[in-house]
Amino acid sequence: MRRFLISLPPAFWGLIVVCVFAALTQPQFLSLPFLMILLRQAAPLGIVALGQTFVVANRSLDLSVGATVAFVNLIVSHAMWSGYPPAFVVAVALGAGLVIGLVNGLLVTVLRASAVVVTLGTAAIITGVGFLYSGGAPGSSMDELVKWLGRGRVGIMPVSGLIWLGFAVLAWIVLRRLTLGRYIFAAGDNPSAATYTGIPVNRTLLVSHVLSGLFAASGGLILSGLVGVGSLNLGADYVLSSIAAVILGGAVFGGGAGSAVGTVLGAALLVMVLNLLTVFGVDQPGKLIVQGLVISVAAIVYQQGRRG
Amino acid sequence: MTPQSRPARPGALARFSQDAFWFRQRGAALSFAILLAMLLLLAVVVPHSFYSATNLSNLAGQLAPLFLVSLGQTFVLLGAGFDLSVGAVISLSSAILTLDLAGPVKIPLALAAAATVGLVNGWGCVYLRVHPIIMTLATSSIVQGVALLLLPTPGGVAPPILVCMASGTFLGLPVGLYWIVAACAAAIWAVHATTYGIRLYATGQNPLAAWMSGVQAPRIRVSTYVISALMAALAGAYLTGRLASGDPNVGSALGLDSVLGAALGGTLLSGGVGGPIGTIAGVLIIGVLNNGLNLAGVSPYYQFIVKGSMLVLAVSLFRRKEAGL
Repeated sequence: MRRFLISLPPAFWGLIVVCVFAALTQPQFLSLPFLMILLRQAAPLGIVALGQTFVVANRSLDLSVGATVAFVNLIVSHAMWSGYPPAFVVAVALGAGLVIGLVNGLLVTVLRASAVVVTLGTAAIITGVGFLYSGGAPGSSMDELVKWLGRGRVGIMPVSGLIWLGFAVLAWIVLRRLTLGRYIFAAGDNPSAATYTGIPVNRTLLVSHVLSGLFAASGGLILSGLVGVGSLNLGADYVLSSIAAVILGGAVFGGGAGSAVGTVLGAALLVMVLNLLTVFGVDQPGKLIVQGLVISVAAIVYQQGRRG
Repeated sequence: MTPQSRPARPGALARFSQDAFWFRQRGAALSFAILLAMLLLLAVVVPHSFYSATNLSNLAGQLAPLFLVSLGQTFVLLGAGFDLSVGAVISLSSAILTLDLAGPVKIPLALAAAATVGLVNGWGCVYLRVHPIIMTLATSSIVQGVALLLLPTPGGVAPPILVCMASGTFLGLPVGLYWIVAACAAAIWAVHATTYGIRLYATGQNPLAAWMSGVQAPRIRVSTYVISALMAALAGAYLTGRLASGDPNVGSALGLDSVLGAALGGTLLSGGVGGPIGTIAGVLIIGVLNNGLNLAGVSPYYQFIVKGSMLVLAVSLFRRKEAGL
C-alpha cells in the first residue's frame, strides 16, 4: 500500500488538495462549464508537456518547445497558405515540428553536445527563421479547421480536450506498451548500463527528441486555433511550464521515471492553480511565487518519498 | 601558480591538480581561438567602427554584468550543478537596491537576500537531492515573484554610490572594465590558486571519490550556489547603477546567457571540466558577436539565426563521452 501511494505522482495529491480547496471556497469553479473552459485552456500545454515527458524520462531536455509553438503559429497564420487545403497546412505545421525534433536529436546524439545548450541554440535559430518568415508582422489568416481544433466543441466536450486525450493515450502506449518505452526508461536511468545491455541508446534519444518536436508542434497548432491569430511570442512561457508539468507528474531527470498520466495531471494542476489564483484576484507576482512553491514542494516531497 | 599557493601538505589532491590542469583547460584554448578568429574577421569587415575607443568602452560597460554572472555560473557548473535562478536574483537585487530605504542598508540587504537564495538552492540540490534544473527553476519563479512584488514596474532611484561606481570612467578607462578585471581575477584566483579550487574540481568530477579523499563535497557544492547568487547580486547592483534606476525584469535574459558564456568557454555541464579562464573567452565571444553583428548592420532577424548557429557549432566542438543533459 505504501509503495502504491508513493508511486502516485505529486500532481495527484496536488489536484485533490486544489479541488477540495476550490469546493470549499469557490464552488462555481468546479461547475462543468467552467471545467470545460479550463480543459480547453490546458490542452495545448498538456500536449507540449507530454512531448517533454519523453525527453525528460530519457535524461535530456527540450528548451526549444516554446520556439516551436511560436513557429507553428507563424506558419498557420501566414497568408500564403490560404489557397491550400486545410489538412495540408496542418501537415506542414506537424512536419516543421518533426524536422525541429530531428535536428535537436541529431545534434544531441551525433555531436554529443549538451541538450540544454543545443536546444537553446535551435530555439534561437527557430525564432529567427520565424521572424524572417513572417517579416516581423504575423498574419491573421487562420484556417477554419485550425480554429476548430482550438475552439470547437463536440457536444459539451472541447475538441482540443479530445485531442489532448488522444495524445495522452498515444504517449501512454509508447511509454508503457512499446519496446521504445522500455528503451527510453532504461537509457534515461543509466545510459552506460543500457549501452552494455545492447539498447540503441542514441537512437532512442533521437526518437525522444523527434516525439517532443512533434508534440510541441501539435500543441502549437491547438494554441494557434485557440488564439485565432498570429502572434510573435506565443508560447514563450511553455518552456518552463512544460518542464514544471512533467516534474509535477512525477518524472525525475534520469530517474527512469515519468508517465503520461502523471504529466496530464501535472498540466491540469498547473492550469487549475493559476486559474484559481486569478479567481482570488492574485496577480502575476503572487502567481509566480505560488508556482515556484508548488514545483519545489512537489519535487522535494517526491524525492524524499523515492529515497525512503 | 606560485609554489606558495599550493596546499601546505602536498598530497594526492595537489598532484591531481597539476596533472589535470591542461587537460581541463583544453576547451579554453579552443574558445580563445574562436574569439581570435572573430576579432580578425571584424578587423577586415568593420575595422574602424569596432576597434574605436568609444565602441570598446561601450562593450566593456555592456559586458560587465554578463561577466559577473557567467563567472558565478562557472563555479556551479564546475561543481556539477546548474543555476537557472541567476536572472531572477539580478532582478531581485535591482528591486531591493531601489527600495525606499537608506543606502547603507540596501546593499548588504541585497547581498544577504542573494546569499539566502543561494543557500536554499544548494540545500535543495545537495541535501534534498532535487535535480538542480528543477530546484533553481522553482526558486527563480519565487524570486522573480518577490522582485515584482517589491518593484512592480521599472523605476525607483539607485543609491548614488552605485551610480558613481557603474557609469563614466576612472583613470581614463571605463568603470565596467574595472568590474570585469576584478571579477575575473578573483574567480581565477579562487579556482586556480587555492585549495578550495582543487576541492571544487575534485567534487565536480566525482563527488563520492572527493568525499572519500576527505573533501567536504556537499559543502563545496552548496558554496558554489552561494557564490553564483552573490555574483548575480553584484551584477544586479552594477546594472542598477548603470541605469540609475531599478527594473524588476532586468535579469531575465542574463540567466541563460550566463550558462552560454560558461559553456562557450569549454566548461562542461557535467562538472569538473573547464574553468573561469575559458568563461572569459566565452563571454567575449557572446559580446563581440552581438556587437559585431550590430556594427555590420545585420538584421536582428538574422542575428537570432547566427547566434543560435554559433552556439550549436561552438558547443558541438566540446565533445563528451555521453549524450544527454
